[in-house]
Amino acid sequence: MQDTPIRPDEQALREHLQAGHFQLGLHEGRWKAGSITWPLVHISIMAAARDGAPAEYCFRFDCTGYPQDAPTARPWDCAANQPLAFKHWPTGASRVPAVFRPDWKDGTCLYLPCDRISAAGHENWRTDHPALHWSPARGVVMYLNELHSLLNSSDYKGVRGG
Amino acid sequence: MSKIQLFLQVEGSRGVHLVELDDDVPAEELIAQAIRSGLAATNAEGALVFGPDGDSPLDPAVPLSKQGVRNKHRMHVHRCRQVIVTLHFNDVTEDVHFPPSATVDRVKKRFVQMIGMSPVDATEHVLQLCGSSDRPEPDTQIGTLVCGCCNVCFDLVPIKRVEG
Repeated sequence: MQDTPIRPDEQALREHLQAGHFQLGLHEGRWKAGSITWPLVHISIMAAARDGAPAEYCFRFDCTGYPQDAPTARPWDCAANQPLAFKHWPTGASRVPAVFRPDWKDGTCLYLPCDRISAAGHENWRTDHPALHWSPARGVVMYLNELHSLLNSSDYKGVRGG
Repeated sequence: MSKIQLFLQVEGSRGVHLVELDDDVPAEELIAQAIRSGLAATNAEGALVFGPDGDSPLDPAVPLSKQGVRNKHRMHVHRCRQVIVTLHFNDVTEDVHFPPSATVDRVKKRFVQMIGMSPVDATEHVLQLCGSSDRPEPDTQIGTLVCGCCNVCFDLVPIKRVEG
């Protein structure tokens, strides 16, 4: 029986995970690679220490159409392979809760300009947040860097139910 | 002799290249690697090799292992010995010299210290290339942002909350 050929989007994502930018973040401890069950990819992001909060958050990325189409991601309980309960979501003073919004699309994606689902219908974000507009050349690392920046900012205060 | 992997960045290109080579090759071998990674041959003439922490370039003829280069270290190939970084925040302007291997994060830390910004406020600001909306990642080595010159300019700007 022949193996199913790998899809171009999966191939592209796997190449980006092997490339220097992602490997540098891995080596410097900014994130950890998890499982890939295409198009779903688990990646954990390290967070600053806060009372009662975990050292890292796992995310499930849906990378369908990568890299022409942006991924979409949500906080995920990777051990149980299910959505992370809202009470365990990260929160903060201003910028963090603006991104981690359980009320947005029922918590199925993050409120970020580089998120495929959230970007749809937000044409104003192209001018309001040009640095966060999805770039196929920068790839998934731009999404990971933004999450790492948020979870290591002074705005981040720990978990919602903490 | 053993194989090591190095994170290599080069003048004027933001790519990070993971290269593998023997640890006993001279530092100048990284210039050849840089050409294979996309550095224009014309930009290789007179290029210098910078190690992970050094403000001075490595000796091109001395093996990497004898100059403290280890597995997974970050390396940089650039013609500038120093990059003059012009930094703006409100009405303050400072010119600071860094090796091209210095990261955007290192530059920012130095600048916020110079202007007396608190660490808490500093996490709410980011460096943006002057006259653009380009905000290079904190781990970007500044030499990747300049080619053919040794100057780069940043504004320190507040990070906006995503709304709307």
